[in-house]
Amino acid sequence: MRMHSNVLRTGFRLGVTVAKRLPSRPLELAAVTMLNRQLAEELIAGEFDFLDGRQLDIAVTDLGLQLRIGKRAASLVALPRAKPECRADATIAACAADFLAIVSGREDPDTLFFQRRLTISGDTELGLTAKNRLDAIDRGRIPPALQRAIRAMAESLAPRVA
Amino acid sequence: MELVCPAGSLPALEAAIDNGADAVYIGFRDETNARHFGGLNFDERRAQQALAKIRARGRRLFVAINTYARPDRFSRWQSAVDRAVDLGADAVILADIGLMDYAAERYPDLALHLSVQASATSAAALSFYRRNFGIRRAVLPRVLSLKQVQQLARTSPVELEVFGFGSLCIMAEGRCHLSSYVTGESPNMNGVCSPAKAVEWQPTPAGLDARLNGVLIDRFGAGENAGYPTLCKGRFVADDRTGHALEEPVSLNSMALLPALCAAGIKAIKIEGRQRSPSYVAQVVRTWREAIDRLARGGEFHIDPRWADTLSRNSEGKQTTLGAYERPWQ
Repeated sequence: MRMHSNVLRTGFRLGVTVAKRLPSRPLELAAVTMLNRQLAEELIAGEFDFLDGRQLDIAVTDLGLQLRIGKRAASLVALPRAKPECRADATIAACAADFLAIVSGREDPDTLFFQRRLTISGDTELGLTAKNRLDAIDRGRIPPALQRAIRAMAESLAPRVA
Repeated sequence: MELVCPAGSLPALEAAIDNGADAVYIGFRDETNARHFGGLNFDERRAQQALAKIRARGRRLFVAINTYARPDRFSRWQSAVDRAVDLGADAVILADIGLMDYAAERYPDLALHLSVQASATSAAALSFYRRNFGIRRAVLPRVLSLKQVQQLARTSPVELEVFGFGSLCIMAEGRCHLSSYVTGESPNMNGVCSPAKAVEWQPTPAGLDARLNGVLIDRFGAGENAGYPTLCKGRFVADDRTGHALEEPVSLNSMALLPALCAAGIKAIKIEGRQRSPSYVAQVVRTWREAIDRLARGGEFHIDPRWADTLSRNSEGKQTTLGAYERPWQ
């Protein structure tokens, strides 16, 4: 188990190193495609309409990744950034391990916020609404294999309690 | 003792059920409840899904309609009661006396719980609510000391529910309008303390600034824990000293009092946090379930270090205290 966990940690660090060097556009498109598939029901029900005409950045600090999300019709879109200094309406930022911990249900976002590991800047209401909407997603709809992978990764990256 | 747990979303409700909640309380998606934040709470479809899950597992569902109705929009609050009845909720949690009158007259069989926001702290007040509206339960404000809770439990004409865990505020429950001074909106009238639209987090060279409608209410240095951006927990200059003038960001944790509360006849323990994620609900509810079950098994009750660790990790402000339950000035 310990070895398995070490392999995951090493793999993750390697992934971090590689991801930094990859062109980010394909990653962004892949991420948004996955989100659209997971959130199809909520998008149709109008639960993400708060994103209409808005721009939300998800910044994965240690990967140097910044996914800018918008919404057109009933789909989320990855918006290209014309200029780096052009800011989104709101930004949610954390490291990859903490985002994984949130997605896997291991950590509460408010807890991470209290501990200064997650930040919301810009329009707080937009960021908070996005956080709450993502909390409300039925994780049961994520394919089981992916759920297991996320959980294993999040666990292996969690800080060890002595 | 009944364990009453918060849910701001369907996954949070499932987390509560899976981890041992006896009852779950929710709110509708409007200002009729005190956690009126974007992306939170239940529309009609979600509320029906919530009830189906509750019934499938034999638990109870309460609907919090715990803000004060605005005179020009009373029908919105009435409609929330109607929707809770149509849904088939097991109880509604009310604070507004006019709304309570409406609910008691219109739906004599509906179980009414007196919200913590009603701030009833004496047997006389509880008797009044019982006589006039037939309330079955009251949630006690967190301004009472343990001794006062015990005294009240001896004479209360209704079941009593007390807070077990969650973020603490200034404890002027049902009467706090601090948020209004800066933002124009308060929890009791608009369902929001520090509405998100008024909140701004600004990273500066000096740290992280928390601004409420442009007013600087706190500055967190590097590595310093943050809290919710409420006026009562801000740091101000008073008497030439900068610090928490009103309240610190702390969470209530009354687990150590569980045996005393149980012996006093307290019927239910409430967990705060409809604004928190399913992860918080799962961890906190599981912990309290274990504690209540251990107490029920008899023998000496002691707090497992794992429980203390889980609760302290999930609390606002590192340190958890017993809050007003132990304030010596009582």
